[in-house]
Amino acid sequence: MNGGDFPQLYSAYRPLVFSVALRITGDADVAEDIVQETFLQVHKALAGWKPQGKISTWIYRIAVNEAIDERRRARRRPRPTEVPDRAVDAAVPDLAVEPWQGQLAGRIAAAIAGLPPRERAVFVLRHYEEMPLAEVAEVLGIALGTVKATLHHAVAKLAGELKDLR
Amino acid sequence: MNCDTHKEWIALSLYGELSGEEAASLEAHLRGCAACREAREAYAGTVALLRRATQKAPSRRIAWPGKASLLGGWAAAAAAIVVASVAFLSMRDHPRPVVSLPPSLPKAASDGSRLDAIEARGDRTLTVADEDWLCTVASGGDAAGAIRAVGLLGRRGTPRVERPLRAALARPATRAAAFGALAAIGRLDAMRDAVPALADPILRRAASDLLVERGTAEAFSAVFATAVGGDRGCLAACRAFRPEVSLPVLRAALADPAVRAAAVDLLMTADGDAFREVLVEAARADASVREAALARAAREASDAKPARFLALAIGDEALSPHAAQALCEVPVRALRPALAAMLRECGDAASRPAGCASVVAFLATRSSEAAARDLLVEALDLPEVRAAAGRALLAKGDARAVDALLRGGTEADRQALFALAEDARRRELARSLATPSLRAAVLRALGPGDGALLRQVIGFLDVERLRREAVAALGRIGSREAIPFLIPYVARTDEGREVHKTLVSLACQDAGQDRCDWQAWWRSRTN
Repeated sequence: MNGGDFPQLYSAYRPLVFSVALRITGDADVAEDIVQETFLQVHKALAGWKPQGKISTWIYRIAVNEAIDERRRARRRPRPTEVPDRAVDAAVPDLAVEPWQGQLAGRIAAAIAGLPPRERAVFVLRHYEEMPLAEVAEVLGIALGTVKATLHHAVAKLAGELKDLR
Repeated sequence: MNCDTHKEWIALSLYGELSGEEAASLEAHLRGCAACREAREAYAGTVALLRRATQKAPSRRIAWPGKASLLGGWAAAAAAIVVASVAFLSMRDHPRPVVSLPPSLPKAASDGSRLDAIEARGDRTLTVADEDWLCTVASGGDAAGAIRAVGLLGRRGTPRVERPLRAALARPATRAAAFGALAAIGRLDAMRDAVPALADPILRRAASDLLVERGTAEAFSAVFATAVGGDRGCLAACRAFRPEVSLPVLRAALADPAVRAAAVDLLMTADGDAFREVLVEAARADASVREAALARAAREASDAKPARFLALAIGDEALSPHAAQALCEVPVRALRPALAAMLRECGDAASRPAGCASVVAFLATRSSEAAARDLLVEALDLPEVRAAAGRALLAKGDARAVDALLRGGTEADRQALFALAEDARRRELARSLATPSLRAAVLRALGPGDGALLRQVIGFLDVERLRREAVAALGRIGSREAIPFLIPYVARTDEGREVHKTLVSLACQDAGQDRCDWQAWWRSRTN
């Protein structure tokens, strides 16, 4: 891997990173910020990257760590050149946070947004990204047992929040 | 193990993250724990709700600002690559340090300011001059500028920009952007453009999504052909087609050795039993399909969907022996949830008595395994297979079937009780005789060879409610020791006549309908 591979990596993983970031943060602007931050770090580290694991896991790890860093929201400042028609909102087709999905999606998005960051990350990676829990553990750098317990807590909380919709 | 652990397992089971052993243990726990059953219902309902919400979202049709046409979500994703490129390249305006971009994605140079200006205008349409200029940039040597130009043409261009966008589609650097842009101006054809795009790893996801949206058998065939090569994304896309589209193609694919394995894989792991039922049907008719499907399922028997297929195969009279053979090295506990579900369905619908019998017959052959015996115990609730399940359990000395068979009370149930070894039978029937609600059933079940229980049966002659059963039981046991105890009950009543008949059969002679005559006969015999 070297700097020359960057455009391919960017094309291949950009939608995935955006999808994960948007699902975890629920905010398209913050997610876009995370995409930039993630690929900035990828670009910096690419030359020294050693193939000890899947490259996707490495990229996910950067993105998820950025996304669960709640301080990011406070840090973020308006960009001078905002994308005028918010086309990025349409970047991931099936996100629950989008307005066109109506009230049900709004309730689901609110319930997911109400989870603590790590629970949200585990839930998003397993439920929406369909990532095996072993890989989720690798991405988050925590024990598999902790990931399992965290997924359970997330599902239990969502069940409580959404019980009137079942 | 407490309920907290089991609740965690419930959540994990909904994502297929439970081992066969854990799943079996969970099922056993759920049978006895109402709180965990409630949790399972709540969790499963919630996960299903979330999955439904994702599937039903009208996401594949997004109103693109300023465009009358509707786009697929993938097109938006592809276009977003362009937008992101713009954002990425514009980081010089961002308060972060400037990024040194790799040479293959250079910063926009002289054309950049005009591109910035067009973007900044924020209006929905382009002037003809701008459009012409963007077409030139889109085909130029500056890759970053070309990507930005293609993106702008896609978002605001008129149909006349199709040709330069098609040229951009042929260039690797702008292919993804052009694919999204062509979709945005409504000039992308699912079959003409998306099918070839499946060959390109970068466009594959977008192309397969477009074909899913097209939803025809031809579209499915194209995505399936890519999935055959092992592409997981296309495999997932295949599952998004409606069953009425995908099923006929997959059914036909089963006949082709080159794609059979992929078809088996999809049919086995798709959502919905309709797929697995087609596979069962094909496996019944075609030995090659049968071998491929059973071997594949046996390898992953602890996963819910292959296990479900195996349960259906076991429940199919014709396939059952083959399934049993394929599973000879797979522990029954791996299949326990699937087989338990199968038995529950038999109980609910009563429409699959044959399937149920095949499942029980399979379990009977594996009754040395605890999981098989546990499932046989569950089958005891099903009248049509109760005797078979009970016989298999009793043959292994598992006495859990005794009470169910006694309560069942059919001739087949009573016959099944003889599968218990003599000592165990005496012990278990004596135990059941101590249970008031089972006494009549035990008395009805007694027969020759149950002489060890004679004294207890005689005791029930005093109990008016059980007397008829006790008299009949003494007749079947056939011991002459019962005669003096029966004589006091000879009378000219219906019950007395039954006693008389029993006495005649035991004594091998008839002293008449009078109790005194029988007493005289007995005294003369003993003197």
